[in-house]
Amino acid sequence: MRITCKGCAIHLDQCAYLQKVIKHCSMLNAKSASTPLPAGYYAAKNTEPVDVDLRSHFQTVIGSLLYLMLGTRPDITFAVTHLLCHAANPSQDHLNKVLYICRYLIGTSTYSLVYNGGSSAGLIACTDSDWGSDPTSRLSQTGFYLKLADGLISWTSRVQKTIAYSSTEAEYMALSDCARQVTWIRSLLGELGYKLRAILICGDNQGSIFMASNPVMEPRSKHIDICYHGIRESVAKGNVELFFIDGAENPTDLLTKNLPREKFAKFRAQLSLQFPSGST
Amino acid sequence: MKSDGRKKARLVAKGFSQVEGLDFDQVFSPVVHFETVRLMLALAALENWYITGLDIQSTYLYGKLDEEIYMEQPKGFAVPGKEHKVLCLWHALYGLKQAGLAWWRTLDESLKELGFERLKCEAGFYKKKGTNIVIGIIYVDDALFCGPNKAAVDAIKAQFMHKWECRDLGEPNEFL
Repeated sequence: MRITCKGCAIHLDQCAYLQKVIKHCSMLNAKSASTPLPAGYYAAKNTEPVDVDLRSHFQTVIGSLLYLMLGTRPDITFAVTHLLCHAANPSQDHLNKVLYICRYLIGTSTYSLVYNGGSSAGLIACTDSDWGSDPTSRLSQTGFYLKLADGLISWTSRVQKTIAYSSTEAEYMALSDCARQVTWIRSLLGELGYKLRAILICGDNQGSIFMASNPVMEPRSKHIDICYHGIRESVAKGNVELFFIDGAENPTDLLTKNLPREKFAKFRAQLSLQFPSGST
Repeated sequence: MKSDGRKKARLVAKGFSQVEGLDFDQVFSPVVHFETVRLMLALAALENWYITGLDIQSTYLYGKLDEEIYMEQPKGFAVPGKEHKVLCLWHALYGLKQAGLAWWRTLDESLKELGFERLKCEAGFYKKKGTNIVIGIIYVDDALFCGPNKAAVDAIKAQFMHKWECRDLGEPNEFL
């Protein structure tokens, strides 16, 4: 990871490593793609027996992409974690799609994550979920990020562990997942001597925000397990504050599904990823 | 071979022959999360802190061992006349299963001597309170120091470099 200070901004990138990965895949001359994965793409399970050579190739490439994703590339988070589920037995299609992510990275290889010291925005979190996105297990997807100094510091995309009966419930689980991360960051900053006010968590579902703010027991939510109610405590204690945003304006959407080009580009622009000045 | 043409050789212990419970117990060694590093950078940007980096040389060789471990003398380097004897290790070697943990313990101790305090919610994150707070983040052999006061940070860095053989990475740096 390279750290560059430019005035009051700090840039973070892994360009050199990315170039190495692309070279290793012998894709230096490949055509770039505009999104990490085709819109609406779902990776189906491979039913064929394991192809050892293919698996080893797949794991090498996706391992490198995982490192990039964890380091400085929130934009490929969903794509990488989505394909990562098939690392034990990948098909040719999965391998092709991993190379598709590489093609996306070719077009965006100079991106860096930027923390703007001049920003007045505080710590803010944003969550989204995609209800029942997995067609076989019908589990939902959680996506959330945390921003400080107008730059992303933490991002996650994962399949939820429990079936959500409604989109409200899926969103509620995403909120509590996010609140857990926020609590950790809060205590870290607390140890450094910062006194924080309630941290804003944005979500695009009114029902889940209502459920998290009011200790109600309704027929439709009474089955929700104890571990997801942590969010209520966080709200009641004033550690977090929930805020509703329009679903069409929720950038965390790209952490829960494969979006079409325009939508993806729009949300990516809100992730504090930047081209270095001088190039486009 | 390193990228700059330097050649390196390492003496590596046969870690695979170690027996659990006898030659080693716990082997994990804590590291910082990516999130923490980014959080600190964001803070540094907001507060306009000074950041500086270090690379600690041959880290694993500093770790003190709790266990009694013997190894055969390396071929070609056996002490003349004592070829039949084995070596008792005082410090860790590359290849030993507990080398990472041994180094971390040694480092943790030395940072405490420098006045640092480890955060409860993150293992590789240290703070030194005082009029000018200094924060240290250590990822095995990579270290970042930062704080509002350049002189205070540099003073700590100098003390740290006096303790361990380091490569000074200066201001715009690589980490991890």
